[in-house]
Amino acid sequence: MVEAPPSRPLAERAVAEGAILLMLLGWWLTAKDLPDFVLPGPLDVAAAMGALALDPDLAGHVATSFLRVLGAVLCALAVATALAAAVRSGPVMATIVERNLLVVLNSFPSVGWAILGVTWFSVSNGTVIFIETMIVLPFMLINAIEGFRQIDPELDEMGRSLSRSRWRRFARLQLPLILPFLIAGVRISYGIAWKIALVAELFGASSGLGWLLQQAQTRADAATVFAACLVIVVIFALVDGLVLRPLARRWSINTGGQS
Amino acid sequence: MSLVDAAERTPRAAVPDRAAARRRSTETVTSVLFWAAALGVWHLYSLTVPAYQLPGPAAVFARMADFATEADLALQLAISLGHVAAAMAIAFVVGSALAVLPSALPATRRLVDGRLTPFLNAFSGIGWLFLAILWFGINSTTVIFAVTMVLTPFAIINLRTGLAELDRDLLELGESLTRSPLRRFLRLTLPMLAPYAFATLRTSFGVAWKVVLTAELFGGSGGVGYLLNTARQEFDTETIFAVIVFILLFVALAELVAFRPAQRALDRRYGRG
Repeated sequence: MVEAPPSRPLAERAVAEGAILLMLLGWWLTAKDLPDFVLPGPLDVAAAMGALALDPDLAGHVATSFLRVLGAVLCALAVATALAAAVRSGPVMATIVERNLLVVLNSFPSVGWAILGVTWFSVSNGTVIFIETMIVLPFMLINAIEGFRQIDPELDEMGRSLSRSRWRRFARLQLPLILPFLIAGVRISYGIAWKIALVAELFGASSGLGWLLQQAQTRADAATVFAACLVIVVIFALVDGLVLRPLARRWSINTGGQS
Repeated sequence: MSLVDAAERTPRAAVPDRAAARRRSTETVTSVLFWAAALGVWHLYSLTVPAYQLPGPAAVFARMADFATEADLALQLAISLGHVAAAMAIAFVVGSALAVLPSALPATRRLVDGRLTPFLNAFSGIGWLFLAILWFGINSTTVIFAVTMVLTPFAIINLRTGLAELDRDLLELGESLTRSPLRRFLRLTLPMLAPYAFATLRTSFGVAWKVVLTAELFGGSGGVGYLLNTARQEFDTETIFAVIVFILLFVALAELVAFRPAQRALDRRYGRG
């Protein structure tokens, strides 16, 4: 992104933090006159967040959700890379994957996977990971296919003259070239997993943040609903900022182009 | 972000016509064979498991035929479409307002780019849904609110990118051609933003269909998601499959008859390079 040079950083900072403070104040004032099950105050929500972080039972739900999301993103990464590599093997696979599979995966409603996953398999961690994988797969696949498409055919040919081992060519030549696209896919999928694929835990589990959200909603425990949402925001921001964005910057072909 | 037609971007101009035609027919044959094989496998496998787990293709098509003749499905589909259209419209308006704000008031740039957008982008759609149920109850407002909140960050990010990528030389040229800011905005800025606005709508449409059914299933009193919920409670897997296939057809059709031709027209009209 090409941006105009920052105008007055101090003023920008003041507006940004000031607006946040005003919003918190507005929230507090509005919540004061409203019953807790409609809009809990910031303090109640902070207390519920503390409980999510400290209470081992609740922290367990957070960890469970996190591991499921991680598992689903890694599964989707493996499947998408394999399918995208297949696209390169010839026009037949390219047609099947790009023209048919991708279109179906891309328009498949996420709740459809959730219902079908629970109908086909029993309620378990594996089912949740299956559902989440299917939901994030199209996003990963689009990036992986684009990555393989960007490989310079001449570089590929040079690789063939240097080594006969397919695996060696993939690991030493193609993989480094498609990494920026894969990491972009991982970033998008990770976000989609938390935002949309969490629906898997509403059907296929009796643990995790999605389940917790639903339980809190049926009990009209708005503070926990808020707290769970904010915990998701924090986890998303932490992993994206501390792990995924640095990786994207490191593996980018032009420094920091993809973020 | 064009999700489906990545295949169309390969340069094809240099390929002679006959080769292109042959390639197209290979593609068609492959697709038909693929679907025939998929239906065959589906049919054979469905014979080995109970119908509530996986109904055969014939049963699903029969259910779809039933649906097509009933008025109910068309009505529910129309309700869902209404939810999607309302959410897309509101998200587009809110997203444009937030995207333009830093250009109009530079001091708010950090607030929008550094605070609001990341926050909205990280907020779970399922979370919005349950908050909406607590606030508005089970009705269309809940559905539209939840879908709107999911779509808004996509709109802000797309339109912010569009504004950031505006060709500064062209804008400068515009300043030397006319003094009227309105004229410059209408004749220069808007056309340059059009591809990004279109990308916003296209992405929103895809994402909206993914989440609207979830929202209707938990927080709606009508729409295709509501239909799915009834079917799920009755273990009516045939209806679930029929509904999913209808959604697939509908979304693919919208992509094919509306978005792809519009994209091509936009590329011709506004394409750079």
